[in-house]
Amino acid sequence: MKITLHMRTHRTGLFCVLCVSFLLISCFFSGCTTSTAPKNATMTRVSVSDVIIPVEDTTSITYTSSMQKAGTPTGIMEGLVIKDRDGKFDPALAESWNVSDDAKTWTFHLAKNTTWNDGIPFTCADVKFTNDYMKKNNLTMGYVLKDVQSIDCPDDNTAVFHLKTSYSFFLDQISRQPGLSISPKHIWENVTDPQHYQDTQFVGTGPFVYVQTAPGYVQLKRNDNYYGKVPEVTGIVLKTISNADSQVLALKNGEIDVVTDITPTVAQSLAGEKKISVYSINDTGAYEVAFNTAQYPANLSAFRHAMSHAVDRETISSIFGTGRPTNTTFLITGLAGNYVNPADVGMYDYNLTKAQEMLAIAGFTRNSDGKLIGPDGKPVSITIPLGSKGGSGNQKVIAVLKNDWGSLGIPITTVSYDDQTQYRKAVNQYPVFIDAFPVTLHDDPDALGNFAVTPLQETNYYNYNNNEYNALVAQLRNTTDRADLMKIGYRMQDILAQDVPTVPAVTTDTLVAYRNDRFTGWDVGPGFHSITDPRVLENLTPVQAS
Amino acid sequence: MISGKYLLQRLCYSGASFIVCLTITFFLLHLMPGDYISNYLLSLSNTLPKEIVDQFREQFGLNLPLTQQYVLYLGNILHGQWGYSYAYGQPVLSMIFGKLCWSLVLLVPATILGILIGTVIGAWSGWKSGGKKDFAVFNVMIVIRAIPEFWWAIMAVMIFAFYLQWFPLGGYASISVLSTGLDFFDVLHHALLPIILMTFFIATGNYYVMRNSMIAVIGEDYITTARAKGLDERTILWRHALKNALLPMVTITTFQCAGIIMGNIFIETVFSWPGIGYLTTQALTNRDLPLLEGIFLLDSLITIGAMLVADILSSAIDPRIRMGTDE
Amino acid sequence: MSETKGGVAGVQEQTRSVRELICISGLKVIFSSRSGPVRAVDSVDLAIREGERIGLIGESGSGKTVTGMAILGLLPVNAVIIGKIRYGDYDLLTAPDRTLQQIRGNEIAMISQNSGSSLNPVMKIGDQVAEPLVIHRICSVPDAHREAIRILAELGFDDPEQAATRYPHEFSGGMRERILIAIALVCRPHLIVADEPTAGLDAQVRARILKLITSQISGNRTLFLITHDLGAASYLCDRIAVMYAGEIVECGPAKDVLSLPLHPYTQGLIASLPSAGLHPIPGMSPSPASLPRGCRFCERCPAVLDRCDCDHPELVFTESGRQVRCFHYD
Repeated sequence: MKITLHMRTHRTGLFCVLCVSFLLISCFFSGCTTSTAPKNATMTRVSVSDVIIPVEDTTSITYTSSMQKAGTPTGIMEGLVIKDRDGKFDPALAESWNVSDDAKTWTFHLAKNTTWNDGIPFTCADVKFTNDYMKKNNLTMGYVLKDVQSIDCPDDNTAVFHLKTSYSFFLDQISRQPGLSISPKHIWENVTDPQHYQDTQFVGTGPFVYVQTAPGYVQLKRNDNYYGKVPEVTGIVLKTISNADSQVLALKNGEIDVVTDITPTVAQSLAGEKKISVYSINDTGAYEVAFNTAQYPANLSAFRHAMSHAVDRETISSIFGTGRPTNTTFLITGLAGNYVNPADVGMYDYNLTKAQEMLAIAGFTRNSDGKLIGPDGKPVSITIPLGSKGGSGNQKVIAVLKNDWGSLGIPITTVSYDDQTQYRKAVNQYPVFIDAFPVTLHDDPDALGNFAVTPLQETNYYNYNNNEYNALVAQLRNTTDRADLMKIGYRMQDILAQDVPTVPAVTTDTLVAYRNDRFTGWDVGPGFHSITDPRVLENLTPVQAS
Repeated sequence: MISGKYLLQRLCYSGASFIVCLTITFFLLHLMPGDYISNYLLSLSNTLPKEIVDQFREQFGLNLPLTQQYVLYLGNILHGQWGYSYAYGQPVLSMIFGKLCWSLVLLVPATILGILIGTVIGAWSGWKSGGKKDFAVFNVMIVIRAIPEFWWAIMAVMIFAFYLQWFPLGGYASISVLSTGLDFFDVLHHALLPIILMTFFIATGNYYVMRNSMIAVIGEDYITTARAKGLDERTILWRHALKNALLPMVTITTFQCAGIIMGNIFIETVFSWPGIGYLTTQALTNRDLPLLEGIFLLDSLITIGAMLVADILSSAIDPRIRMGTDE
Repeated sequence: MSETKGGVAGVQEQTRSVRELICISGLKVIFSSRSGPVRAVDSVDLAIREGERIGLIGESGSGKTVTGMAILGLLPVNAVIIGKIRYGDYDLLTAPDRTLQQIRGNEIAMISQNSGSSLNPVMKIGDQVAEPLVIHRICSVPDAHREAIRILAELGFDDPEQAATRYPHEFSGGMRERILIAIALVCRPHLIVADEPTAGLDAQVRARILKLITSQISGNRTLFLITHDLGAASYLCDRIAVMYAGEIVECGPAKDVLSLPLHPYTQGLIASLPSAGLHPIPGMSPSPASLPRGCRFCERCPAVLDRCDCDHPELVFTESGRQVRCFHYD
C-alpha cells in the first residue's frame, strides 16, 4: 500500500500540523491568561469617568517601584514638595518648610492626618526610613539625596534634613523629575533584597491608588481619603499604544482621552475635529548650540563670539513649528522669570556680516574658494556629534547651521551616536555640539551650575572653567535670600554672555490633543510640565453626557 | 536511521556551540560602548554623579576584570541563574517569558500558516512557472515583499481597524479586560489582523524559496522518468516533485520557527503588542546587559535546538542524508 | 500477468511481418532560441516495425534524443512540432494528454539516460518500479510490489526484497541502470525507447547491461535504441538509422550499414571507432540554428561533389533496398 499511502500521509501530516498549532495557540493563550491575571481578588469595573491615557508599554511601568527607579504610575507616590512652572514650590507631603540661614538644615512640616492608602498613618519615620534605606542598600535612586547627611524626626509631623554642605536649591533637587518619592516604611522594612523586589501593591499617599495590571492596561482609582484635593475623575487607565500614529487614531476613535507630544502637523490635521481640542504646554524643551571650549577653534573666545551671531534662531524656531527663539544667555524667560538678567537679553543677535567681521578681526581669512582659513593657516571645518536626546530636532538645528556657517566658509559634517555614554565622550572631542535639554534644568541660577567646575562636578560638557564663575556657583549654594540669589545669578549670566560657552537656540512646546467631550481642565491650572502631572489630573472635570 | 551514538555526538556538539555562543554574546555585549547606569543617570539629568556610577558597578561586579566577570557569569548560567535585569530588577527569565508568550500568540500561528501557505503557493507557482497564473502570482508576491512590512501594517490598521472598524486598533485586549479578565475571543479578535499580516509576510518569503526549488526540481531527469511512466501531472507534482522541492525548505522553515523567539518589533509597535521584540529593543537602548544576554542565550539555545531538529527532519525526508552510518 | 495485451492501439489484428508499430512521417521539431529557430529534427521519416530492434545513431545534437522524446510526447512545451507519429489509430503528436498518459509506460516505455539523476532520490526502489503497474491499474498494489521484486530479481538483483526497500543513492551506476530498465519493462510494453542506456558505464557493466537488454527484449517486443555507441547498436539492433544534423542520412539492416556503410558520414563514424584506428571526422556538425543550404555534411565530407554545396539531397532507396541521403547514390 506504500504508494497510495503517500498522498494520504501528506494530508494527515498537514492536518496534524494544524491541530498541533491550534493546541499550541490555546496553550499560550491560557498561559498568558494565568501569568498576567489581575493580582487583586476584587476587580473594579472601569467606569466611564476613568481617564484613559496612552503609554508606550504598561508592563515596564509596573516592573519597579519608585524606591528602585523613577517611573511608577503617576499620582501614586508623592514627594515633599512640587515645583510648579512659575518657579514656586507647592506643598505636597510637606505643608510648609523653612531653611536655616546657612542653607544646611531644612525643616519640613508634614501634612497631618495623612495615611498610606492601605490605612497605615504617614509619619516622619517614613521620610527618614526612605533616606536611610536607600543609602544602606546602595539604591541608585539614593542619588537624589546625595547631599543629605541625616534626617531627624523631632515628632511625627516634622522632618529635619541635615545636609552635608549648604544648598539653597535643595527643594529644586528633591522636587524636579524624578525627585524624591517617599516610600512606606511598613512595607519596605520587611524587604531584604530591594534590588530584586517586585512591588505588587504600590502603596502610596498620592491622589491615586493602584488597582490592578491587566495585559496592556494599568488601572488606578482616585484616593477618596487623599489629604489634598480629591480628584473629580474616578480613576485613570493607562493603555498600551506603542506608536504615535496609533495614539492619534485611538483619540479620534474615542478609545483614549488624551495624546501628548503630537507634532505640529498632526495638531493642524486635528483642528477640524469638533470633539478634539489641542493645546500647547509652552517651553518644555530647549536646544542649544554649545561649544567645547577646550577644542580648536571653539577654544578661541573670539570665534565663539562671532558664531553667536551666526545662529538664526528665528528660522530654527519656524522649522520646529512650535516654540520660540531663546534670546537670553541661558535661562528660559518664561520659566525663570526675574532670575533672567535683562542686560544680557538679546546679546546674540543674528547678523552674519557682524560674524564675518568678528572672524576677520580674530585672524580668520577667506581663501579663493571661499573657505574660512583659521589663524593656524588651515581651513576650518567642523564636525558635530549628535546624540539620541534631541531626536529629529537636532537635524533641524543642524540644517540651519549648515546653511549659515557654510556661507561663512565653514563646512559642517555630523556624526551620530545612539548611546548616551558614547555621545558624552564624543562631545569631548569635537568643538561644537548640539544639546537638547528639558527646561526644568534651565529655570533658575542653580541650573547654571552646569557650566561650573566644583568639587562635586569635576568637569562639564563645555570644558568651561572660569574661576570667578566657579566661586559664584559655590556661593549660590549657601545663599538663601532671593535678592542675593538674583544678584549672583545676574553676575553669572554676565560672565556667560562674556565667554559664550553656549548659544541657546530655541525652546520647544509640547502639543497635547484631548477629547473635549470627555474631560476638561487639561489646559487650565498652574500649567505643569506634562499631562501626567498629578496636579493636572486632580484638576480634570468629567464632561456631563447630555 | 539515527543511531544513539550519533545523537549523543550531536548533543555534545550542540552543548559546545552553546558555550561558544554564550562566550561570544558575553564579550560582544560587554564590549559594547555605553553602560546602563550612565545612560540612565544621563537621561535624568545632565550631570553624572561618579560615586553613584562606581557604586552601581561595584554592586553588579562590573568593576572586576572582564575575564573574571565571564567566569562568574558562566558559572551562574550553568547553574541556571540567568540573573536580574538592571533596569527592572526582575529575574531575566520571567521577564522574557512574560513578553515571549505574547509574541508567540502572534508568531506561532503566523509562522505555521505562513510556511504552509507560502510552500503550497510556491510549489504550485513553480510547477506552473512560465504560465500566466504563475506570472500574476509572482508579481503580486514581489509587490507585497517590495513594500516594507511596516507600511502594510499601518495601511491595514488605517483601513481595517480605523475606517472599517472590523478590528481593534491594537493592544492585547479590549478595556473590559479590567473588569472581566482575559477572554479568548477578545484576544483572538485583537490578534487576528497582525497574524494575517505576518502570515502574508512569512508566506511571501517561503513562496520564493519554494518556487525556485520547484523550478529546479521540474528540470530534473526523474520528473521526465515519471512522465515516461505515464503519470499525470498532478501525481507527478504531489508524489515526485513536491517532496524533493521541500528538501531545502526544511532547514529554512526550521530556522524560521527558531526565529519566532526574536519577535517582530515592527508588528509589535504598530499593533501596540509589546512582546519579545520590544523587550529586546528596550534592553538594547538601556544597555541592560543581563536581559540582553538572557534573550540572546535563549535564542542561541532555540537555534541550536532547531539545527538538531532540522538535521533529524532532513534525514527523515531525504534518504541521502544518512545520520550515524558509516557511509 | 499475460504476455499479450490488447493495448489502446489495438495492434493485435495486423500481421506481424509487415506491421509498422510506429510510423514517423515528416517530423520536424523546432525550438525557439535567442539566435533564431533551432531545427533540432528536420523532416524525419521512419517506420518502426513490430518486433524489430532499431537503432538510431548519431553524435550528440543530431536530434536523435529529440526524436525519441517526440515518440513519448515528452518534448518541452516551447517546442514547435510538425508532422505525424502514427501509433495504431493515434497520432502521438496530437493525441490528448489522457491518452498519452495511458500509452506511456504501459505500451511505450522509456529507459532514460543518466541513471544517476533519472531516479527519484527520495523514493524507494520498489515503489518506483511498481509505480507504472499501479497507475496503469494493471494489478493491485501488493501484486505490483511482488511483480517489481520479481523483475528486479530477473534483472540480476541478488536480494530484490531488500533492494526494493532501498533508495537510488545506495546503488552503483550499473545497478541504477538496471532499475531504470526494470521500470521500463515492468508493464511489458510493446515498444521500449532506450536513450543511451550505456552512457557513463564502464566496459564490463556496459556489456552486462547490453546482454540484459537483449535477453529482455524478445518476442514481439520492439526496441528503439538511441545511442552514439556503434558497438551497442551493432550488438543490439537488427536495423540502424543514422542521424546527422536533424536528418536521417542512412538507414538499413544493421549488419549492412556497419559492414558496408554508404553515406560518407557513416563511413567516417565507423572509421573513428577505436577498432578501426580512431580516425575522427574533421570539423564540427553545423549548428542547428544555421544549417547549410545543400548537403549538411558537405563541409566535412571527404568525397564532396560540386552540387553538394547548393542542392539538398533526398533520402533515396538503393538497389539493395537500403536508404541513403547522398548524391553519390542518385
